[in-house]
Amino acid sequence: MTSMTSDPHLNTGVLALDAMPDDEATEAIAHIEDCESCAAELAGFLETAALLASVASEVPPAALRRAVLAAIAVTPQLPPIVGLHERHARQGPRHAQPDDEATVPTPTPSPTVPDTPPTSGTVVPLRRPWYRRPAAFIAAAVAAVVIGGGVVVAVNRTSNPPDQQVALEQCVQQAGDAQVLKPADAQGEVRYAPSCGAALVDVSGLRDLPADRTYQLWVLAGSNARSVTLLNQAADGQPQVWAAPTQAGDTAIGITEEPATGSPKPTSDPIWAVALPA
Amino acid sequence: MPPPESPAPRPQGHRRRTLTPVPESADQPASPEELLGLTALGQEHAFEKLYDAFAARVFGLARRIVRDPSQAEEVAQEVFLEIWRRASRFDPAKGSATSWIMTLTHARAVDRVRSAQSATDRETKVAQASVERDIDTVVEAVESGLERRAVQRCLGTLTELQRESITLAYYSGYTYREVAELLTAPLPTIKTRLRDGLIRLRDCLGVGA
Repeated sequence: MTSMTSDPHLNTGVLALDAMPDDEATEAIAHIEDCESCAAELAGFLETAALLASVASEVPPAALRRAVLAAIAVTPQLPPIVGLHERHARQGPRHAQPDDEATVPTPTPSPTVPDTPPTSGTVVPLRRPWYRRPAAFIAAAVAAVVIGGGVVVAVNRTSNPPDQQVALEQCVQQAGDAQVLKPADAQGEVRYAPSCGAALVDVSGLRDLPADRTYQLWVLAGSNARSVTLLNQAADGQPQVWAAPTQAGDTAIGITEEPATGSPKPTSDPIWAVALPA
Repeated sequence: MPPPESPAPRPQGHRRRTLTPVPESADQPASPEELLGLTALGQEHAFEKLYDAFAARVFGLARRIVRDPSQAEEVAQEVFLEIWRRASRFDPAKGSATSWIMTLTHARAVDRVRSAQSATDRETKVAQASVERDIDTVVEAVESGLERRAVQRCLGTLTELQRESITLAYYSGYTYREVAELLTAPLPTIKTRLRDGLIRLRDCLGVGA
């Protein structure tokens, strides 16, 4: 059956989606290991598949957090495998069962720092922060472009004097080329007017943060994130609007949660972002 | 619950349209890879952050696949315990932490479904959960909002057949043979559809090397 189905090169998609029946998996993986281009494709597919999970996101009951934290408090950790590369992530999901899963591990009974660094000593670039991902990624994040009126948020990478803010805001409000951009599943919107070199950002609807945290507004130009301002919550609960200067080549506007004093660069994934049309 | 890190007072006097200069203090982002690395060193605080970053995705994906919320919770707990135990085995050379975690989640959820299927049809269990629904406000529901929107949009670029096949395989946890059966399509066709769909998604999402 399996032999008539094919070109083994085609198995990458099935493997990445964890959809290969066990009885075919061994053969399929063996092929991948001998096929460099297949392995590369599979690696990219696995990263892609991992992103698919975001669509299914659902906040779990708080009890789960308590249960997990209670459990790890009494669970020893496995030591690193010295000099051995595990194949877990790269090979198909179910086929890389932990070699040691069945046994209760005895080493490192307390969670102290082991002598051996985790896994191999290979220096590998960490995954890029969100704001350094390809522009297409951020652009893809804008699911809906809605034309209409609305509140404004302005973004500004430096401290513009209030009168400049007002001028920018008025310009954008009256601009013929102003577009209203909304995130797909969040409140707020951006009114962007390239002719004014500015965007107004309305971020009403953000939840309150503890006193040691704040929202920070960024304008992105490709891989570069410029801080516009910290977004402090209006005491009166009115819609909050900021004006941010923009320039040609800017690709997106985003908001992250940061320590109360702000950060030079985003330190977390955006809680809110819209791509700017080119 | 980790203690607040720097209980600096909120700057005073900022209201609408006031701009605050941002100091050049460096507060390095903690990527999932870094958190996993710290978790491997036994740092429960880092693990908690990892939990908060991934709980919604892990639980959500498990729920999509096993459907029963209480079983999804069990799967999620298994997954996080395994992350804790196996953190030292994560090798960033072989893929991102997100991929590692979600791959593990998918595998555990599918394991659960397939073992349960021998006894009973999973559809019958859907409505039976009696789960405490005190939503965890600590977990960052919006944490992956950017990705979610990107994925939704990119799924929209697939052909109907590609999307259907990927949805059945990934979100419902069917094998490709089962997908072929459900869609009355030849096996090679399904393989090709899954692969072509992933190529399109990968390119749309800008997933690089």
